[in-house]
Amino acid sequence: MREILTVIKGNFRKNKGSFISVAILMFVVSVALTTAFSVIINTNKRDEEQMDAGGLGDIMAAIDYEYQGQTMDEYHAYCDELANKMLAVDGVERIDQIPTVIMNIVDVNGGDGNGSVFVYDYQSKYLTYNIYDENDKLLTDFKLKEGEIIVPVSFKSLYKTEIGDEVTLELHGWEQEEKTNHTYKIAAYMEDPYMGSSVMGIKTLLLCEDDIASLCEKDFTKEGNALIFSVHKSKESVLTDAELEANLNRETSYASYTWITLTRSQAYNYMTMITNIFAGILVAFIVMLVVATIIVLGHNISSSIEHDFVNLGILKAVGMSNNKLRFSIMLGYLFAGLVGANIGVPVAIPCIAAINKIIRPVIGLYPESKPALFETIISLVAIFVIITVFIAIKLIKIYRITPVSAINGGRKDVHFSSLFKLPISKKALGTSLAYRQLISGKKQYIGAIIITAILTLFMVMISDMCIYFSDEDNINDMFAPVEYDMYTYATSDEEWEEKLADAESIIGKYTDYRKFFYSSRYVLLNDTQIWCGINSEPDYVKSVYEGRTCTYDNEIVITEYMTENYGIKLGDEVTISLDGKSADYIVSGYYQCTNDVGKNITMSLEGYYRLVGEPEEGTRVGCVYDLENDDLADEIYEEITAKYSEEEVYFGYDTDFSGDDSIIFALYGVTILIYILSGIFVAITVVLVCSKIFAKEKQDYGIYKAMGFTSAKLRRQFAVRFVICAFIGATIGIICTLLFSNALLSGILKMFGMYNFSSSLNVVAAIVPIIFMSLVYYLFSYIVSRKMKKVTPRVLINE
Amino acid sequence: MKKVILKSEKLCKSFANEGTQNHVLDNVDLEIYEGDFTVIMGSSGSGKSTLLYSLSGMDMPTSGKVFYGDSEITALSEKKMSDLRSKEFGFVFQQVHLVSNLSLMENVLVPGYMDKEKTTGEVKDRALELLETMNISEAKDRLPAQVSGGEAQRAAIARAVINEPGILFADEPTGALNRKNTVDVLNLLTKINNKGQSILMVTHDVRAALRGTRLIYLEDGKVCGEMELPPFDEKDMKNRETQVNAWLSSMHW
Repeated sequence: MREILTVIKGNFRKNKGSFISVAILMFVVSVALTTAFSVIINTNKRDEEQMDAGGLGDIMAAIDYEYQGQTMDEYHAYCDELANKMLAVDGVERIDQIPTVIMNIVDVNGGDGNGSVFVYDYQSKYLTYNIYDENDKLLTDFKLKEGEIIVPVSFKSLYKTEIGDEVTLELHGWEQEEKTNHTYKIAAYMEDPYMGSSVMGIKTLLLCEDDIASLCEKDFTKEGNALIFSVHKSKESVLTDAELEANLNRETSYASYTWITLTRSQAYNYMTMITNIFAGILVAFIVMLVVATIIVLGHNISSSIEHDFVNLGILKAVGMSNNKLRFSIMLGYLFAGLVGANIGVPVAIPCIAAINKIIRPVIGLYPESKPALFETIISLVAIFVIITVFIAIKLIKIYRITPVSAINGGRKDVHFSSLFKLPISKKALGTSLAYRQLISGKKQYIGAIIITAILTLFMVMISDMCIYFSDEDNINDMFAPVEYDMYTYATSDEEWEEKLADAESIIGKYTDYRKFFYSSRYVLLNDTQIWCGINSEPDYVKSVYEGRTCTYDNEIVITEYMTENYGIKLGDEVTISLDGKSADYIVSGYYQCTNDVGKNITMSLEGYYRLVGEPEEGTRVGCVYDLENDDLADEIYEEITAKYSEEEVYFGYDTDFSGDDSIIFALYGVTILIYILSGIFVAITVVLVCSKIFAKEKQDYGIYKAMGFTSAKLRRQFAVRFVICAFIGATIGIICTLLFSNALLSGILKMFGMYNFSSSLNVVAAIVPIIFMSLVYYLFSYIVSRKMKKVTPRVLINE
Repeated sequence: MKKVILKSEKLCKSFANEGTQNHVLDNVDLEIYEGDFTVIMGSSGSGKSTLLYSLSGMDMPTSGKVFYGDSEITALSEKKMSDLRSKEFGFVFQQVHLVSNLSLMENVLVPGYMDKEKTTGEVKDRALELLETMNISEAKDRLPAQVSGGEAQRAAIARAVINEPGILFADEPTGALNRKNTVDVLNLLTKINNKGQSILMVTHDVRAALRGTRLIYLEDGKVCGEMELPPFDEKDMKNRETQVNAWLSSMHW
C-alpha cells in the first residue's frame, strides 16, 4: 500500500493540472446535480406538505350556481343533496362545503388583468395558507384589514405587483346582468399549493370577513356567492384521485354540475410542472455533462499513459504489478473527483436558494433551500461507479506496456497519410499548418469535438425553445388549436343581430376575415371531466398531426395525453356525457393543444349538437374571427367599442397566455445557466486537451521557432486548430439538434401537454452557440499556449 | 582578408545546479568568417553545443554579446530574432527534428513560405531542386517516420538552406547516423560549403571534422586552440587526417 500511496503522490505532483481539472468538472456536475435534484424534490415536497396543511382535500369542485334554482337557499339545498349523494360513494370520508366569492380580475397594478378568482375569508375555518411579506418573510400573526387583499406570490411575476398596489375585482350579481367593481390594496402574499402557479388561469385571493360580507350583502349569503366542495378521501381508500373522480361521476354525475373540478394530483401536476420541466432539462443536461466528464477523463488517462510511458515502464521494471499501477492511477482520479463532488454539495446551497428565488413567483411556492442529500448522494455514487468502471477499462492499456519498450524511450507518434489532408499553403500558412496538426492528431481532438457537439445540442435546443416560447403566436397556438383574433358573445340587446352585422362590416373595412363558432365546455369522457373544444369549422383545427380532423358529427380529435393517461387511441369509440346526456364518438385524429396540460379533446359544432341537441331556433350564438391581417385587431376593437357598448355588442381580442412572461424569464434563466455550465466545461476541456497536446508538441514548437516562427504566430496557429474543433463540434451539435431536438423536447414538454413540439431551427439559435464555442476555444487555447513564449529552440538540444 | 560574419564577446553561460553554478562557457571571444566551414570540437561536456546555441541565438547566454554582422543578436526582440532565424540562420540538429506530420517536401517548404518576397512557385522550385541535390526527391511526399535517418537528415539540411541563410549551424549532424548516411550528409555539407555557404558545425567525430576549413577546440568552456585547413579534397584525405589527429593530440583529445 505504501508504494501505491507513493506513486499517487508522485502522480499528483506531476499531473496536478489534470487532477485539478477533474476535480473542477466533478464540482460543476455536483453543484448542478445537487441544485436540480434539490429544486425538484423540495418543490414537490413543499406542494405536498402545503396541500396536507391547506385543507382543500383530494378533489375540489366549484358547484356552478347556474344549475341551482332561483335563490341562494335553493342553491345551498341543492348542494347539500349533491354532497349527500357523493358521500355515499365508496372512498369518500367527508365533504366540506367551503363558501367562496367567485369574481373576475379586471385590473392589477394599473394594468389589465384577466381570469377568474376564488375569494375566501382569510380566517376560513376550512383553509390555511402561509402568508408572506414583500421580502418573502413568513408572517405568523398577520391581521388583514378592511380594503386589503392577500394575493398569490405569482402576482409578482404575472402583474409585477408590490405591497400596496391595487387589485380591482368584478362581481356579477345573482342575475349576472349587474356588475360591480371592487378595489383592494395588496397587503401580503400567500402560498397557494392548489392554484398558486402562474400557469394556472384561476387564482385564489383572500379578503377579511367584513369585506366578504360587504360584497355579498345584496345578493348572496354573507359568506359568498358559491360553494366549493372539498372532497376528502377516507384513509383506508386505495383509490387514486382519478379513480375516485371517475367513481363519483359514474354514481352522481357531479362534474356536470360544477364550474370546475380539480383533483389533488392534477393540482400537484400543474403546480410542479414548471419546476419539473426546467429541472428536467437541467437533469438531462447534467447527464450529458457526466458523459462529457467521462470523455474528458478518457482523453486525460490516454494522454497521461502516453506521457508517462517511460515512468510506467520503470515502475514495472522495479516490480509494480499492473493492478497496483491501475489502482494507483484510478485512486488518484477518484480522489480528485470526490474532492470536487464534496465541495459541490455545500456550494449548491446558495444556488438552490437563488433558483428558488427566481422560480418562486412562477411556481407560487416557497420551497426550502436545503440540499436533497439522500437523492444527491445516491446519484453521485452511481456516477462514481460508472466513472470507476470506465477508468478501469481505460487503464487496461497499462498491461500493454513492457519495461523494455518503455525504457527505450517510449512511443513516438507515427503519422500516416490522411484522406482529409490538404496541402500546406503559402497564403494561409498558419491556418493550413493548424489544420495539418489537427488532422494529424485527430484522436486527441475527438473527445473535445464530441463534448462540443453535446453541449451545442443543448445550447441550440434551449435557445430554440426560448425563441419559440418568446413568440406570442406560438404560445397562442399551444393553447388554441384553431387560430382566431377576435371573439364576440351574444348579448340580450334587442337589435343584437343588426348591430353585430354592422360591427362585422367594420372588421371587413379593415381586413378580410373568417368567421366561425369556437367555444369550449367541460364534458365527461368515460366518467372523467375533460376540456372539450367545440368548433363549427373542424378543418380550421390546424394542429392535427396524425389521422384527420373531426369532420363528421360522430368524431373527435384527442391529444396524446389522452392515450398516455386514459388509454384512448386513434379509432377507439368513447362515450361522452354532458348535462345527463350521452353519445358515442370515434377518435379520428391526434392534435396538439396544451389546455389543461393536454387533458382535452375537440369536436365539431354538429358533434356537440349531437350530444346536447340542436339549439332552439333563434338562439343567439357568439363566434370568433380569424383576421387576414391580425395586426389591425387593436384598431378594429377600438372602433367597434367606440360605437357600441359591451351590453350591445361584446367584442374581445386579447387571447394572450397569462403566464408567458414569467415562464420565458425562467427559460432564459435556464438558458443562461446552461451557457455558463457549458462555458466552464468547454474551458476546462480545452485547458486539459491543450495542456496535453502542448506538452506533446513542445518539440515541434522548438522546430518552428528554429525556422523563424514567432511565439505569437505559433499561439494563433495553436488556437486556430481548436477553433476548427469548436466549429466541427458545433456543426455536429447542430445536425444532432436538427435530428433529435424536437423528439427530445417533446419528451420533456409533454409534462406541459405538448406532445408534438416542432420548431424549425432558428438561425440565431444555431449561430450563437457556434460563435460562443469558437470564442471559448480560441480564448482558452490561446491562454494555455502562453507557455509558448518560454519554449525556445533549446528544447531541441541534446547535450 | 576574411569577413567576420559572427562574433562573440566575453560569452558566458552558466547553469544552476542544486545551489551551485556550473559555468559551461567562460568568457568566450570568437569570430566566425564568411564562407568558412568552421568545426567546433571538444570532449563531452566541454560546452561546444552550448556555444553553438548561444552563438545562433537558440539559447540566451548568461552574459556577453553575440553579433551577427553589425547586429547584436543577444539584444534582439523575439520578433527580430525570429526574422533572423527565418532569413539568415539555418539549423541542422543531431536528432534531425523534422515536423512529424509534414512530408519531407513540406518540411522544406514551410520556412520557404515564410519568406514573403518569394512566390509559392519559386519556393516549390527551390525546394525540389534542393531535394534533388540531396538525392531524396523520390521520397519528398513521405512523412519523416517513413524514411531512413539519412534521408531525414538530408531533408533537414535542405530545410536549413532553403532561404539561403547567411550561416548554417549544425549540431552533431551525423551523430545519429550510420556510416553510409554519415558520409552522404558530410558530402552534402561540403558541397554546399564549396558553393559559398558559411557553416558552423559542432562534432566530436574526427571524420566529420576533416570536412572543416577551420577547427576550434573547446575545453572547459574556453577556446583552447584552433587550426586552419585548406578546402576539403577527398584525394588529400590521409594527409588531412594525420594533421588533424596531431592537432587534436596536442589539445589532449
